[in-house]
Amino acid sequence: MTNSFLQLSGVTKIFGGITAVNHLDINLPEGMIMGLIGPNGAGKTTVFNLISGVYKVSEGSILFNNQDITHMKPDVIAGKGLVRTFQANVLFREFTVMENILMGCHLQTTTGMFMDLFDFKAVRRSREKIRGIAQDTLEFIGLTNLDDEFAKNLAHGHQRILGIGVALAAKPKLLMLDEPVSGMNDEEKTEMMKLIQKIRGKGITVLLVEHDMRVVMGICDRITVINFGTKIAEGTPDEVQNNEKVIEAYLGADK
Amino acid sequence: MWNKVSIKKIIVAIAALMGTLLPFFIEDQYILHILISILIWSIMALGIRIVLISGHLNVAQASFMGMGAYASGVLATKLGWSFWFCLPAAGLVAAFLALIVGLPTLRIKGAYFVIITIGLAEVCRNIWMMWDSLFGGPQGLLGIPTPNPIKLGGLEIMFSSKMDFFYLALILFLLTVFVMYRFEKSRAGLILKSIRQSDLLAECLGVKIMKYKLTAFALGAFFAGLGGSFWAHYFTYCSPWDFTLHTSFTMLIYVMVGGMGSILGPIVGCALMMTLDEFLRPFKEFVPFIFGTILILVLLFFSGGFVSIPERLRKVLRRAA
Amino acid sequence: MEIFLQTLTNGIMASFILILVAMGLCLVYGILDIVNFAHGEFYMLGGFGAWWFLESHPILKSMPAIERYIVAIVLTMIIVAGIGIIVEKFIFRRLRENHAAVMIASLGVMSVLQSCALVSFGSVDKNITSPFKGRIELGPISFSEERLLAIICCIVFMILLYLLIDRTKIGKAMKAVSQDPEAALVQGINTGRIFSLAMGIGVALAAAAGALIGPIFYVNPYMGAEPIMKAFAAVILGGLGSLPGAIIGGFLIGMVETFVTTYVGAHFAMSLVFLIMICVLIAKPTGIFGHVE
Repeated sequence: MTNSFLQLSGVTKIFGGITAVNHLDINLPEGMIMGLIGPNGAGKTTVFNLISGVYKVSEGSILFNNQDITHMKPDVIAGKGLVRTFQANVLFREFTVMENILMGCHLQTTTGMFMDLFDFKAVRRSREKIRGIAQDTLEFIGLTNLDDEFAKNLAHGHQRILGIGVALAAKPKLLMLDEPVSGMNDEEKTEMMKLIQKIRGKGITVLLVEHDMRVVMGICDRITVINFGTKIAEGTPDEVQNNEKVIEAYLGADK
Repeated sequence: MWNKVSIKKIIVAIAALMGTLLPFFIEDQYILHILISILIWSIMALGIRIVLISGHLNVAQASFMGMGAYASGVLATKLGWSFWFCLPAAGLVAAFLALIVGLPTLRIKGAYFVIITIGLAEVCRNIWMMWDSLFGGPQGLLGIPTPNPIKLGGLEIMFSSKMDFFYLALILFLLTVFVMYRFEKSRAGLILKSIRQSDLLAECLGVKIMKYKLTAFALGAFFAGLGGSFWAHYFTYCSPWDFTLHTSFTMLIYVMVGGMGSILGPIVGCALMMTLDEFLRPFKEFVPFIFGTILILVLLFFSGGFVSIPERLRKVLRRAA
Repeated sequence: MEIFLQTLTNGIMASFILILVAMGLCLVYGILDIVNFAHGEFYMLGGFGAWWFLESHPILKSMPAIERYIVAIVLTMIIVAGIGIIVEKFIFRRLRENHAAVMIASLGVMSVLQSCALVSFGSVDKNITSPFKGRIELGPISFSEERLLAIICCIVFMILLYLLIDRTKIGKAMKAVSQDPEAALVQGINTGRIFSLAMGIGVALAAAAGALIGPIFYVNPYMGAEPIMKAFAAVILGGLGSLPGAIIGGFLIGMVETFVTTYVGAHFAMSLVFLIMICVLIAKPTGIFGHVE
C-alpha cells in the first residue's frame, strides 16, 4: 500500500449519536479514476468533507501523497494538491467566469498580500502568469467565450463545468468531483465524461462521487461502494455490478 | 484614448485640486468645520466598508475611533508625547485591538460577529466611563493639546486656525483613500469579495480566510484610530458620548446610503447625509427617524446606494429609447 | 440572608421577563432566519401600549381594574404584532437573501421605532398604575402582586407557546419552515403566512414583556436597549434557534444580572453579561442546545 496516493484508514465520523462514516478504508493509486458510489445518504459527500478538511475526523487517518492530512485545514490541504468540487453549484455567483477562475488560481500566486499593493515587477509577473493559467483553464474546459458572463447567469450545465474549471485552476494532483453530472442531460453528461478523461490525461488522479451509473461504469477504473457509511464492495466496474451486496443495497434503498 | 479610466483619473485629480484650494475660498469657519467632519467621517465609513465587502458587519467602528482618540489623548496628556507620535500610535493601538477582538470572533457566523461588536462598543463605553483616573470618566478626557507646530518648507503651521486642521484632515483622508483603493484593486480585494460570496469555496481553493479578514478589519480600525486621534486634538477633549453605538450606526447609515460597492460610495454618503444633518438641525429629534427611513428605503429600492443612481438612470433611459 | 432571598425573587422575575423576550427573538430567528435588532423596540412599544391604554387614553375606563389591565395587554400585543408583521412583510422579506442587508434594515427599524416613540411620547419616564396594589409577604421576602402577576403571565405564555408549537398543525408547519423553507413550500405549506405568524408571535411576546414590566418600573423610549442585549446573551448562551435554550439561557442571564447588580453594580452586570456572551461565542458558538455543524 505504499504507492497509495490517497489512503483512508479506519476513517470514522460520528455526528451526535449517528455514525455517518464507519471505519472506511480506501486506497487510491496515482493516475486512477476511482468512483465512490452508494445509495442516497450513504455518506459519500461526508467522506469528501472529511478528506478535504471541512469536517473533523472522529477516528482514523487520511494520508495524501505520503503526508498525514487528517487534521489539516481545508486551505492547507488544497495547497498540498488535493482539490474538490461541490454537490451544489458552489461558485462565486456575483463574479464573472474569468473572476471565478482567477480565484481558482489563488495558489499559483507568487507574491504576498503586502507586495501585491504595489506595481512591482514581481507582482506584474505573477499577474501575467495567473492570466495565462486562467486562459488555459478556460480553453481546457471550453468556456472561453463566456469569460465575461456572471456565474449566476450561466446555464446549470455550464455552472457545473465552471466549478470543475475553478478547481482545475488550482493545479490539483488529486481532484475530487462531487456529482459532476447532476442535473445534466445525456449530451452534457457525455461531454463531461470526455472532460474527466481529459483531466486524467493530464496526470491528475480523480475521485468521483456520482449517482449516474452509466457515467460511473463508463469512466472509472475502480469503484468503491459504501452504504450507511461502511464499505460494502470494491473492485472493477464489472466486479461491482455483479456483487450481490451492492445489488441488495441499491434495491433496498430509494434511488 | 478617452476611456473610462482616464476620465475617472481626471475627475479625481480635479477634485483633489479643488479640495486643496477650497479653504482659500471659504471664509465661514463653520463650513470648514463641516468639511473637516465629512473628511474624517469618510475615513470611518471607508473602514466599515472594507470589512463589509468581506461579509462582516462592524457596528463598533466609532469605538475604534474612540480607542484611537483616547490613546492619543492619554499619550499626549499623561506622557507628554508630541501629536506627531500620538497619531500613528493611535492607529496602531486601534489596529492591535482589532486584531485581538477579530482573532476569535471573525471565524464565527456573521450575526454573532455583529452582536460581538455591539458588546465591544458597550464594554469600551463602560471602560471609558468607569476608569476615570485614566480616561476622565463621564466628563471625558480634557485638556488635550492641539497638534504641535511643524515647519513645512519655510512655513510654520501652528494649528491655530481651522484651515490648518482642514489640510491635516485632507491629508489623512487622501492617505486612507489611497490605501483602501490599492488594497481593493489588489488580489486581496478580489479575495475579500469572494469570501463574502462563499468562504467555503475560497478556503477549499487555498485561501487563508482569517488572514484576509483580519487584515481588512485591522486596516479599517487603523484608519479609524488615526481619525480618532485627529478628532481628539481638534476638539481638545474626548468624551465617551462621542463614540457610542449610535455614532457607529450613523456611520453605517452613511456607508449604505452612499453605496458600499465602491470607494466613492461611503464618501458620497457622508457628504450627502452630513449636509442633510446640518439642514435638519432645527428638527433634531426627527433626525433618527428620517435617517432610519432613508436607510430602509435605500436598502429596499436603491441597493447600490446613491452612487449607483447614475448607472440605474442610464439603464432606464436606454430602455426607454 | 434577607438580601439574598429578595435578590433571588427579583432575579426570578427578571429571568421570566427576559425569557419572554428571548423566546420571541429565538422564534423569529429560528423560523425566519432573521436576527432582528429591533426586537427590543417592540418590547418598548409593548410598554407604551400598556401605558397608552391604561393612563393616557383610558378608553377602557368603564371596565373594572383587573379586566382593563388584561385587555390593555392583549390589545397592545395585537397592535404590536401587527406592526411587526408589516415590518417583516414589507421590509425583511424583500431582503431575505442578503443576511447583512436584513440586519442593517433591522437596525434601521430600531432607529425609526425608537425615534417615533421619542417624538410621540417624550423622553421622560412614564408610570403605569397597576390594578394590583397589594404586597405579598412570605417570611423575610416581600414582593408586589404585580411581580407575581408578571411571573404567572410569563409562565402562561411559555405554556401556550409550547402547546402551539408541539401540539398543533400550525406548530408542525412552523417547525418544517424553520428546518427548510423551500422544502416546506414544496410540501404545500404557505411559508409567507408562517413567517407572518412567527414574527407576530415573536414581537407579541416581547410586547407582553414590556407591558408587564411597565407598571413595575416605568416606560421610556430607551427601555428596549438593555433587554435586547440580555436577550441576545440568553439566546446565544442557550443556542440560537433553540427555544428550550432561550429559556435556560434567559434564566441564567437573568439571575446573573440581578445578583451582580445587587451585590456589585449595574455597569458591572452588563459588562459581565457581555463577557459571558463573548466567551460562549468563542468557546462553543452553538451554545448549550445549539446544533453542531
